[in-house]
Amino acid sequence: MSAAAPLLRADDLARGFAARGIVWSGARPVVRALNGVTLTIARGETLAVVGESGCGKSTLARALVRLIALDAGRIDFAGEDVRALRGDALRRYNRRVQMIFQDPYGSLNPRMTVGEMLGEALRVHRIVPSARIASRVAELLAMVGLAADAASHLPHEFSGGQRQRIAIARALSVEPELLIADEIVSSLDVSIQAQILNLLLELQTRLGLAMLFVSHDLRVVRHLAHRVAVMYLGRVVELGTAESVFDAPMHPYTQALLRAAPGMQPGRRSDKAALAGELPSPLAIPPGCPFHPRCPIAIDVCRVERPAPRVRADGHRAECHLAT
Amino acid sequence: MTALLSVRNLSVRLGPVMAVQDVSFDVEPGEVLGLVGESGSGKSMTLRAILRLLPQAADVEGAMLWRGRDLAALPEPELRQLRGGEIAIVFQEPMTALDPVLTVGLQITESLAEHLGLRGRAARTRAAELLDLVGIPDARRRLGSYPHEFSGGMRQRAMIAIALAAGPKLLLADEPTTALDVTIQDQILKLLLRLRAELSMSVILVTHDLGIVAETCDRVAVLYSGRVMETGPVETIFGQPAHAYTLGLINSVPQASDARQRLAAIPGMPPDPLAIPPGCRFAPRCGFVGPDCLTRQPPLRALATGHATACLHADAVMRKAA
Repeated sequence: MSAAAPLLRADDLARGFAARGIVWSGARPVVRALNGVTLTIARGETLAVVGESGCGKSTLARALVRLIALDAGRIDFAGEDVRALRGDALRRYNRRVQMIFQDPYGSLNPRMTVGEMLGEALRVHRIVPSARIASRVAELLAMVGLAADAASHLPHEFSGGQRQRIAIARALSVEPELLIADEIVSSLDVSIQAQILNLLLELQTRLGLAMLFVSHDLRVVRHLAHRVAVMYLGRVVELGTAESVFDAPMHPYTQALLRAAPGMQPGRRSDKAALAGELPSPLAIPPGCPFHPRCPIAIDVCRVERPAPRVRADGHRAECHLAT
Repeated sequence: MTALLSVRNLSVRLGPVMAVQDVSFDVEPGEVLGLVGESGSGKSMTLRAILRLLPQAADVEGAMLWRGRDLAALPEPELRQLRGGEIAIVFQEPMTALDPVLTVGLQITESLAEHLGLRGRAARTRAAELLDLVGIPDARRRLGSYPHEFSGGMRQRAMIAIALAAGPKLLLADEPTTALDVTIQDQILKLLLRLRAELSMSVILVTHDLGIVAETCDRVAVLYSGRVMETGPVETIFGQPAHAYTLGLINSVPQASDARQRLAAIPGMPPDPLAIPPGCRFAPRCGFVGPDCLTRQPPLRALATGHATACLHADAVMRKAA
């Protein structure tokens, strides 16, 4: 997968937000939501981005679909410079890269039936001839496991899980190559979540889709991801294959995250918290390694010098002075 | 051992909806009992019914025996003394449960005065001890802070400190970590376990997360659509589930060993609360369903000491789970 050119490459992405209001200004304190993020996504692969609140994972997702402008950095998609796209080229990009949000209700037009919504996407992007629209809508609904008569109903008539299926159908209607999914199963009950995870796996395999899957839930991430990026305070602090990151994490933050996630074996309890302390204010990112104030193994160098990435033979990398 | 709290045949009706139906369980001294279920399972309603914190319109039946007294029949003033006294409660959203215009210290000392008659310097000292106990650094100074000055995790700690002020024998916790990040959730759950041991109190923990149950609870009741489907020690429930719904829930949680493989998900959705099926309410989604499941709701029956299931096909479920 790594041999071919990646579908998407993000280099050193940066984005700050003024602490109050939304207008960026050099004078006010700045939250560095993205502080030099570099990653790639190959065709057909799922890259999961995992981290706690404020790590920048949702900002990253929105920046990739240009819902949020970047201050610096470069995004290449299939050889094109995404930040420079305008007009038709930008519209084409917005078709090829589709985003799905956590709250499907907020992203579905409440006054349009599901059939009208899907039909509109097909028409605007000229995916199929007008005469084929109705049959394509039926195919899309079947693909995401909804009954054909769903087309004549409004979003509020559906449950949360069904709405997420509708949002997936709409994203897939324009035949994208990359799906950006931001916490899309987080608000679903576990039995419904399992249904949506099955659907995503099946569709991805069948359609050869690439996916950037943003989530705070490590169990879900492990289930879906080929590769995993762990974010902390605006940086990717660890990146590797899912097996490697989950079975042999390099970064002490990843190790703590994995220990903190509740397992399903009652016999394997520990009475000690995996990680002490809380996230520092993103307005005052600690110098050196941003994780050092909470790190159980920090040494002097961690407090002054930002760690350069350490890379294992398989490409698994982590920004930690002590990683091996 | 006699139970600290015995809930017997609790039912809660809200208008046309039977939100909780015929729920019974015991809480033993010093144990953590989990109530686990998905949205609409009735787990939070059950918890709130114990302290009569339900809306006025709710129609509650059943008995809740607290040290020999029925909480359902207790006059309001006595119940108020119990609330925040012997039985305390913490909620998912500390920001809505804490009073935003009072300092955290004042909210603790209020409870100390109300329930223990502690005032002045003694109350302040005790309040600082409580903040310290729940792991808030620099406790004495933080007494003067307002809730909005705390992070989400610290607010939850502060709410636990307030709940602990009167030295409760039972702590009711309603999804106390759902809004928190995973490392903070882990800290709060470990804190609850430590406090349970140090203060020898019991905890009822309402959660939708099976992982939290496995890591925190001694026993668990699995609720679905207002009824207890299965109850037992956590080792038994996770090791040898005996209800098709419990097995389905466990299989819905991704495990390391089944990465990128199809999960054995439960098909369909929970029933509409206004149209509960006549037999077992899980039958329409169940892979073990037989004709016997469709006629009447199977009652809970004991399989072993402390382990009971409301599944008519428990044997088949256990064979499948093994």
